[in-house]
Amino acid sequence: MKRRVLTEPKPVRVALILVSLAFLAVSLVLPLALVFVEAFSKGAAAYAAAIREPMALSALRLTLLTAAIAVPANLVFGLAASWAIAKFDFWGKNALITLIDLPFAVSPVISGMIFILLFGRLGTFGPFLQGHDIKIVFAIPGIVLATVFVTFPFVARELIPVMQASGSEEEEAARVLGASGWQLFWRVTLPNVKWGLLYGVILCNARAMGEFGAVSVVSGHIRGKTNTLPLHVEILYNEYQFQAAFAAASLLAFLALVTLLAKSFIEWQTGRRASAGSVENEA
Amino acid sequence: MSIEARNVTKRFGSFVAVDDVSLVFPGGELTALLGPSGSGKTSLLRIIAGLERADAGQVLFEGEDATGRDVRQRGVGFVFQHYALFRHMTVFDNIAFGLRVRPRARRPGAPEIRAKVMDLLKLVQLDWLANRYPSELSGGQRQRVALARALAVEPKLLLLDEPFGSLDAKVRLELRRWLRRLHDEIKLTSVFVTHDQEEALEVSDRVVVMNKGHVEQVGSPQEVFDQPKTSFVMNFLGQVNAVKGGYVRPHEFELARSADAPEGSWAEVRHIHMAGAVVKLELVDEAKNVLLVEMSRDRADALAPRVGERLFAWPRRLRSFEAATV
Repeated sequence: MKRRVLTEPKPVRVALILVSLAFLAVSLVLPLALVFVEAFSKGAAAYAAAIREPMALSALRLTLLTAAIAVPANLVFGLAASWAIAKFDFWGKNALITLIDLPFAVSPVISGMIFILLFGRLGTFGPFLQGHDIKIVFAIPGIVLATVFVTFPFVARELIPVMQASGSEEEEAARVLGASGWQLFWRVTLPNVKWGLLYGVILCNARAMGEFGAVSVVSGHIRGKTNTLPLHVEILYNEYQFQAAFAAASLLAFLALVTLLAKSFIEWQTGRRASAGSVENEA
Repeated sequence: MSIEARNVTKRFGSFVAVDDVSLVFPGGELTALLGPSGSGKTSLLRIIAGLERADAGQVLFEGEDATGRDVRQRGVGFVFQHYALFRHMTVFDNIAFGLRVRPRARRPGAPEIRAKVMDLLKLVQLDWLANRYPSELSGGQRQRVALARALAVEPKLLLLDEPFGSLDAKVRLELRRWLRRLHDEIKLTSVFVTHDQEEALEVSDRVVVMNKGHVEQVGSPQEVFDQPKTSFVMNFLGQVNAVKGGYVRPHEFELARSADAPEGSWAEVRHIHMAGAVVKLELVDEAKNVLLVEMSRDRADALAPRVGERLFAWPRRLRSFEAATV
């Protein structure tokens, strides 16, 4: 039970709530609504045409493909890294924690540049890649790599505190009872972190689909080949095809809404678990 | 199953948690590892379980070297101080866990598991809670579930790490008597760690007193209480007065209004605690030492001491530990 400690006068409370609601309306809800209004400004038929257009479909496919590779990759990495960090002490642990945060710390444009410097024609591995006829930059592998890099921290960052909080006693108990490493992971560790994991995956997915900066640098903007949805929106906009641009943007906006819904569902679930946990503490 | 630790040493960095300890735990007995925190008792327990690896020395199960045996192969039951129940499983699933993770060849069928779990729940008197989650149970109930879970795999050895440590005083008392009865019933070789001397003395067949990674004394509860071998054991088990020439337990002081013993001193009564069956007095002698004295209610009524009065205090029994290292 939370007791009310602050007792501001009612007008102050109402004013504060109104100010924040007005701000949210102007800066968040209005733009989002405008996306849909603009997208349908020439009618549903024009909207459908803009989305069914081959370049748009190809961008959508590439976006989904990128997310389909980046999210599982970071799911596995995030689980492994957070497990290692939360349950074991090893040399270089702090360095690993810092490195996980690196993609958050640098600008996405720089993240993209790193891959050009590494795999570009004049980059470190450029001659080798050209010699073996492997294309990374200005091709799909580059886009996937840049996306993986940028979305690297989401799962691990979500899981580390959850795993640290749950400690290792349950794992020890499972081992004494005869569970193998695999059984221990599936039956004890994973169920304890599943909501945190799902939360991290959803955020990771949202970012993977929406990433612009890093992908823009490595993509090369080849229409129908290396354009993701955010890049496609930019091209259409620069060509003054506003309605088509907003139609494509509405797909991303729709995705954002789904993400928010999933996120609040998970928060509601974990909230229920947390209140069960507080019963535990009182007992 | 009898357990033996031979020259076991465990270090954490430069801290020596267990220092060349050799001990034998006879089969079928309930042994208490008693000591203050940092005395190495939990480390020793975890080494026996296989949760921790000793830096040197051996652990023998029934005379057989088990030092390198993995924790999964040791066949021990372990009860953790904070229960370590699986939060996302019901009480039933918690207890069934050890049976369900067995390799297929040794795994019992679902009906057998069910029967076994329900038997264990009856044993710990919680069969009506099978479908609850750990968060819905009280501390004492959780610890009993943890015990049932440990017993489900039919261990040859039961290890308990401060099993009553996080319970409140009343539940603690009930649960430890219950554990003693349970042990008399199933006769499983058991070792439990505690820092509570009263608990160790009341529950166990044998007490191992540990301090700073060493074993100070091994013996029956009465032995370690009545014949402490070192000043540490004397001090740790019950209250004690350090006087010239040795140590005296509070109940081994005699008080009188005349100096009718050769070794004793006059002391002034400061406080009298009358509550309870035993009367406790606090006196200050001429050298300004505080003396704690306990006597029966009858004796106190006969003597009728008053605060501020000077009484002659002399020890009926004085212990000294010239050879003691502490």
